Amino acid sequence: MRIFLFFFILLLSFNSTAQNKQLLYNYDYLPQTLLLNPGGETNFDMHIGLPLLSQIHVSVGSSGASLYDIFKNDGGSINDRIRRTIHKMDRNDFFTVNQQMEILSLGWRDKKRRYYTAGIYQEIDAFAYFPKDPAVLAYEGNRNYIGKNFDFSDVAFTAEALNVFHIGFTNYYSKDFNYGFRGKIYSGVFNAYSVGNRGIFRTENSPTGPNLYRHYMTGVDILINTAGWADLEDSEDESGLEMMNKIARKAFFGGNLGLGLDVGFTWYPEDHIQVTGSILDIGFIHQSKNVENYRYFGNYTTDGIELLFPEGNSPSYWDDWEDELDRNLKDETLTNSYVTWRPVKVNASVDFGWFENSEPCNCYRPMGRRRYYNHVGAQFFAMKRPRGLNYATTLYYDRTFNEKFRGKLTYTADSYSFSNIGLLLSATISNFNVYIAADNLLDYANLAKARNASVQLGFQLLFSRE
Amino acid sequence: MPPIKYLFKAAFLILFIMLNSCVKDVDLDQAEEIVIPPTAAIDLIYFDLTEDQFFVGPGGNLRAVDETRLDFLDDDYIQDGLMRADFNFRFINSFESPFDINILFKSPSNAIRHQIRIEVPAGTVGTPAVIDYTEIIDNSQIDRIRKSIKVSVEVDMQENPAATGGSLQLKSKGTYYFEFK
Repeated sequence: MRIFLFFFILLLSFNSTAQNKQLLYNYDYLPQTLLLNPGGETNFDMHIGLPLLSQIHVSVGSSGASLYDIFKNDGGSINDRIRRTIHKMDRNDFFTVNQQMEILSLGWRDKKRRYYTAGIYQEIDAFAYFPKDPAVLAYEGNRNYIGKNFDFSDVAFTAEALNVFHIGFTNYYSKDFNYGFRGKIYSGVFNAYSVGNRGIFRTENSPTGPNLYRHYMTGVDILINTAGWADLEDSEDESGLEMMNKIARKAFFGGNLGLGLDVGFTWYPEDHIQVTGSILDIGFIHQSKNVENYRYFGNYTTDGIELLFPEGNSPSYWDDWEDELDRNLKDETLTNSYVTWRPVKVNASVDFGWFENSEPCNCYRPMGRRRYYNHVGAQFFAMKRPRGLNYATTLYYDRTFNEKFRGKLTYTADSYSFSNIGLLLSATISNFNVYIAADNLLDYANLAKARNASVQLGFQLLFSRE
Repeated sequence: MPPIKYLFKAAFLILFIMLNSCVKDVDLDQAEEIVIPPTAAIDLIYFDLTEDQFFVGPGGNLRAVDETRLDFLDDDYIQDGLMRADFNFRFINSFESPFDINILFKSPSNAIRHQIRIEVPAGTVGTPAVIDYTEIIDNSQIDRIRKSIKVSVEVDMQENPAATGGSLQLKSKGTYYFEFK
C-alpha cells in the first residue's frame, strides 16, 4: 500500500498541459512543426528523420502538488504534509504522463510548393483526475464524515498506448495563405477508460432506525473499460519476446483501429504579421479486441447485523448479509466494444516579425514574402480532457542567428504555473539537424519543486533545393 | 550575431543543467515513515428482544443467547492494520428487570478471546433504562479481536419481571483505528 502511495506522490511531482509543445509550434525550421500544424510553413524541401530518433518527447505533470510539497526536509512530519496535500487538492487536479516517439518521419515538397509528409509515431498518454472523495475516505476513513457524502464521480482516468500512422499534405494556396490536413490511422495497443462514474457512500446517525448508524451506497455505477489488456494479463508464462511480439502486432494494425484528422492553416494579413491555427487528433478508436468492461453497480442500505435469537442454532447471519450485499451491489465483467475519442488539441498563434532576412529566397517554398530574423508572438493551446479543456498561453521570442542556428525562448502560463520558461535550440550543419527543447527551465535547478517537466529532442536530415 | 562557439556552449549548458538537474532539499527516505491512518465507523450488531424469545437457562433464570460470525475479522486489512477498536453498545431496557449481558469475541474454535460484561438496570415501558457502554480495545489487547471470528451475546435476566411486556434493545457500532504502513 505504501508503495502505491509513494508512486502516487512521485507522480504529484510534475504538471498540467502535458501535450503542449509550445516550443515546437510554429517553428518552420523543423518538420515536427507540421505535426502540430499541418498547415504550417516549412523552411526546407525534404526531410528524413533518423528512425526512432527524430522526435523523442516526454512530459510528466501534476497540477496539485510537487515532490517537494511532500518530501521536503524541514524536520516536520511527512504524514502531516500528505494530509495537508490531500485536503489542498480538489477533484479537478490531475496527473498526466505523455510520451511520444517518432518511428519514421519523412516529407518532400513538390514543384507546386506543396509539402507532403508521412510517418509513424508511437504515443503513451495517461491522465487521471485526483479522486478526492475516495482518497479522503481511504486516507481518513468515514468517522469524521458522518452525514457527509463520498462521491465516486471523482474517479475519472484514461490511459492509452497506440501507434499512429499518418499522411499529411500542406497546400500552398497563395503567398499569404497555406492550409493542410493530416489523416491518421490509430492502432491501439492498450486502452483504459473510466469516465462518468457515479455513486455515493454515506454514513448517517440513525436516531429512528434500529441501529446507531445507517450506511448507504446510493446510485453506484462504476465502469472501467479496458482494451488490449486481457490477453497480455493472461500471458504470464510467455517469454518476454512473445510478449513483445504481441505488442508489436497490436502496434502495427493488429490492435484496435481508429481514424483521425488534423487540420491547420497559416495566414499573413501583411508581411510582418502571421496568424496560425490548428486542430489535432479529431478522431476515435473503436475498442473491440481484447475488451474487458468491469462494472460495479447498485444501491444498498445497511444497519448492520440483526440478531434474531431463534430457538435452536443461530442462523448464518454473516453469510446472509453478504448475499444480500452481493444481490444489491453487483459486479460483472463484460466484453462490450466501446469507442474512445482521442483528446482533441487546439493551437493558435499570432506572430510579429522584424529585422529582415535578406538571404536569397528559395522560390520553391511558400515564402514569397519578406522574412525576418526576429519574431515575437503569442500562442494559445487547449486540450480536451474528460471534465473540460486544459489551457495554456505562451509568449515567445524566436531568433534566427544564421542559416545554421536558431533558438526560441518561451514563457508559458497555464492554470497552475506562471513561471514556465522554455528554450529550444536547433542546429543544422550540412543537412544534419539536431534540436533540443525543454520547458520549466527555472525548475531544473531543483526538479523536486517542479510540477511539470517536458523535454523534446530529435535528429534528422533536412534538404533544400538550392 | 553570436559566434557558433557560444551557441554550442549554450546548448551544452542546457544539456548539462538537464542532466544534472536534481532533487534538492528533499528526503525520499521519509517514504519509510508514511502511515495511512483511516478510522472507520461501522454498525455492528443490533437486536430487539421480547419476552417470548427467552428460555429458562441452567441457572434457573430467563436467558437468551445468539451469535454471528464476523468474517471480516480475519481479513488482511484487520490482521495488518488494526491498531485499536472502540465498541459502543447502547442498551434500551423497558423490562422491569435488570440484565447481565456478556458479549464474547470467540476464535474459530470457540475459545473466548475477549469478554465484555455489562449490567443493564431495570426500566419500564414508559421510561426505559438507557445504558451507553464503550469498550476500548487498545493496541495491547487488539490481538484478541484479530484472533476472533465471531461475537456472541448472552443475555441473563436477573429477576423475572414484575409486569409482562417490555423489550431489551441493543444498538452497537465499532470504531476501527487502522495504521497501514
